[in-house]
Amino acid sequence: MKTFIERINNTHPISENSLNELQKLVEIKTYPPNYKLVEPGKFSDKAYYLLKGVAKSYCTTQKGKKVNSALYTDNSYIAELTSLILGVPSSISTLETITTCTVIEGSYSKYIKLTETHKDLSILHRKNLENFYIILQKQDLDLANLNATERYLKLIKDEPKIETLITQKNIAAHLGITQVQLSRIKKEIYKF
Amino acid sequence: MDKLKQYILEIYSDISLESIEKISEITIHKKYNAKDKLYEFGKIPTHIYILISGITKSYTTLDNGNEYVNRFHTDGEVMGPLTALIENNKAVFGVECISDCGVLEIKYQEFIDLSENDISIGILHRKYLELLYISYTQRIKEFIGLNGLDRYLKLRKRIPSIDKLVSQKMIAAHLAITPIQLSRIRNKIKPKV
Repeated sequence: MKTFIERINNTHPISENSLNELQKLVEIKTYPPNYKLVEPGKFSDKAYYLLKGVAKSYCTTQKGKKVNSALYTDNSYIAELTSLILGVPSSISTLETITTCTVIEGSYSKYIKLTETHKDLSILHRKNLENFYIILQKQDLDLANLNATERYLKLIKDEPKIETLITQKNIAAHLGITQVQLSRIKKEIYKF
Repeated sequence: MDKLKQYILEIYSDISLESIEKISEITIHKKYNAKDKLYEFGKIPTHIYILISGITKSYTTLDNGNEYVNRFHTDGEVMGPLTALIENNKAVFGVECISDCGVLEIKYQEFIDLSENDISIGILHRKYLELLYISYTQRIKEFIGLNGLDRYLKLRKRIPSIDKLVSQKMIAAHLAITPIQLSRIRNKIKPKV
């Protein structure tokens, strides 16, 4: 809980009263590997803060292809935000643990109600939404700009321990390439 | 300013008239010509614009020198290099008028100050950021999951007259395909005579 509170205060310091209200909404839980926190067609009002572990979100396209859209490691917010905002089940996105994950979880709609009555929480939430937007824009530019090798290099720069945390299959899916392509890329990079 | 009120109510219908009035006080109506730039790369932006007439593009130059159009804006849309506004940093995306445009101009920092002091404006801003998040996520999913043809059909669904409004080159830059690929796609879906 301490790292979570630190994260909040780094984003936007909140009053003790607001923090108490927020803490009443959340609890700490541990999920096993390969557990689906969110899946298409089922509505869940939960939002999560990942304390420890690795999780991924992926889309299943109409043709049944699975495409990873994000990897999450320690101290990140994870949620299928579109579904939470609209209050409808996720259409094509799944949120799934890769390793055992310890999370702080709580009701998103109750949290939103709090932001509508507490100015500091309203600002905190705005800043979080802004950060999510910035991440999306980077992702958009990366997709347009980088090839698979560059995306791989960026991933290991951003997440140095990722190779030890998850399988090559998961990394390949995240980069949108096959395992064979990933292994060729790595051979190319580490040839010296 | 009726347009401003209309757009605000579309996002958040329960906002008070007093809050709308506060936003209206910091809003100026302006006109721009085709090819005018509302934002340029490398400059720190200070305003947001709401498009009330015309069409614009939000674009950047990729590492390989090609232009990349990340969105065509039509009426009612808020435009602005939000990342640069939030971080008070140089813009990576520019916005250029494709046709003559009417816009509402709002100073970003003044709007943020209002949103922090008036919770109803705070909620409006949250709802706007939510809409933006949803449409951006949608775009990224389309990018990953759909091919050029599907992306073109989606664009035409959102802006039916897009082929008349902007050049084929710009549409190709938005779909991340070459103009030749776009022309093949268009031939493929053209009704056969």
